Amino acid sequence: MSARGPAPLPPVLLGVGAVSDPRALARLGDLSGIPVPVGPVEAGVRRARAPGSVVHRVGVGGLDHDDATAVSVDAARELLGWAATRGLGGCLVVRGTTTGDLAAVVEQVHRSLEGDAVMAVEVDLRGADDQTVLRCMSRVREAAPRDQRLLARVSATDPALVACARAAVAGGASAVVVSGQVRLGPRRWWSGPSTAAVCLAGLRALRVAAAEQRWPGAPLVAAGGVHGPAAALDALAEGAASVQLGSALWADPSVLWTVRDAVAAGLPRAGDDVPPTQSRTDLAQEPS
Amino acid sequence: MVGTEAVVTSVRAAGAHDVVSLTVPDASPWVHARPGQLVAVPTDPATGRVLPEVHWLAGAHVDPVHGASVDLLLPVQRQTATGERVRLLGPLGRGFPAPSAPVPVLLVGHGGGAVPLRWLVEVLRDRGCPVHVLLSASDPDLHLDLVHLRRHARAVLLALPEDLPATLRRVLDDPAADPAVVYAAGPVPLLRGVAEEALRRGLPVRAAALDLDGPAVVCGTGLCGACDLLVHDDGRGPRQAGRAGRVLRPCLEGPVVPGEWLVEEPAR
Ligand code: FES
Repeated sequence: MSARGPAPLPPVLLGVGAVSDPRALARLGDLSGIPVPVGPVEAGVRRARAPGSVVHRVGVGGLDHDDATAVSVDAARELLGWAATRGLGGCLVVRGTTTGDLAAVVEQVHRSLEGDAVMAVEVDLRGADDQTVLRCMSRVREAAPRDQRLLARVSATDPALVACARAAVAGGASAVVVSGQVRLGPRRWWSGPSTAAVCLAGLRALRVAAAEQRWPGAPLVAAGGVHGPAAALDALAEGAASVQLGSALWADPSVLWTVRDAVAAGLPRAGDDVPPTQSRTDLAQEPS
Repeated sequence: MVGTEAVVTSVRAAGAHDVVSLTVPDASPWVHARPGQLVAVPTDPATGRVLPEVHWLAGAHVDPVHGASVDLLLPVQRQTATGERVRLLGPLGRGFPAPSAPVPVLLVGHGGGAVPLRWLVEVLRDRGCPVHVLLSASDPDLHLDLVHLRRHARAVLLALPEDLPATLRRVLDDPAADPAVVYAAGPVPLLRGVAEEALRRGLPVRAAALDLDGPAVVCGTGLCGACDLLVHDDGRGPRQAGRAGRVLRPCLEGPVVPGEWLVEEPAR
């Protein structure tokens, strides 16, 4: 990372629940430039390895599954070490019930030998109200290095989406992950290509709100229903700066590389006309 | 590896399965393919399907003149047609190792889960191994391509699932079979039973520890971990009593594993 601010947001991120062991993905192709998903990490959890995904039901265009189970800080360090020895970085995903827990995890990882491999920290704030989002992001911002890219994951189905995004940026988030997953119950979600419309609606709401200056805007990551290059370009057209792939990788892991190429080609280059939101304008901006 | 575009060249009915041959444009990934490895057939989410098809590799033949071909056993309901284009990711995982000498071998399988044995029997016979096959199935129609198995094996025994343990013990103790190695494929509880019986007799066991017919297979590529399995090996060298088990991801670290990993106590 440069002393001037976080590195640009990678065009493609990976959902932590979908890739519980990145070694599997690494044997299928080159992961350079793609942060390895690490976690979710929760303070006090001792699990040394991410357990497998639990899928309850497969339906048309999606599946009903459990949330990813949290792992320990040591498990995260081990995975970051694996990534670092291959010249890769990681996206540390943190979850917690208190702001102190979130900060403790971020501090522990950053103080460790493997801390340098953290390219970004994603804080899972789906379901939190805007005040909680503000407190969590502020605390994580204090705990993380100054130039660390922080992502706030919020739910596109949240009626207070704009308020949550505003709170996230006020708290120090440098990008907002717009999750299209639909909550089916406690820790249970519906994911898959059928959630694309939900995610796109969330992106659109944030783009319009940014144009109306109801929030300051930040790079947006589309996380829901991105299952191929066309869906990724739809997300870019709605204002996303980056996309996150999840269960699409189960259907076809090679979409990682086709989507990466499509997004890289679809992003505006220096000198291109820029859209009205901030999301695609300054991917390397300083965090607020 | 991001997959290869294969074309179906023949479809032959074999009970509940079709034996499907496909030509692949690049032979190199298939040169070292083995029975017990997997292929995934990615899906296009635009069709509404969200998970890939995952199949056992049922044959791979590389010929300098005719190129490379791959065999799969696909369910009849899939209605595979000649000329169909199929994208294949594979070969994936670790397959069955062939014995270093031409020793007698026993193969044990159940229903459609026995697909890897269909190719294995051919490979073993080419190596000069006398092969006995023991198969169980709840319905005679679910037995696997028996014509093929009978062509390559010295004997093929069929049993109902409830009779399998007794038949297995009989074959293991039968001087006419006298197996030196046991290979197994099928549901994990069956594999654990086979491993216990064989290890008790001091026989090495290799088992394909992934049940493609069960609900626990989601991706087949090692990403999701839905197939994670508790094994009795801690990955730290020779097994000792009292050591904890660990979680094995068959799609990534297997699917073929030593039988010792599937039983709770090492054979004495
Ligand atoms: S089925 Fe996904 S890792 Fe085995």
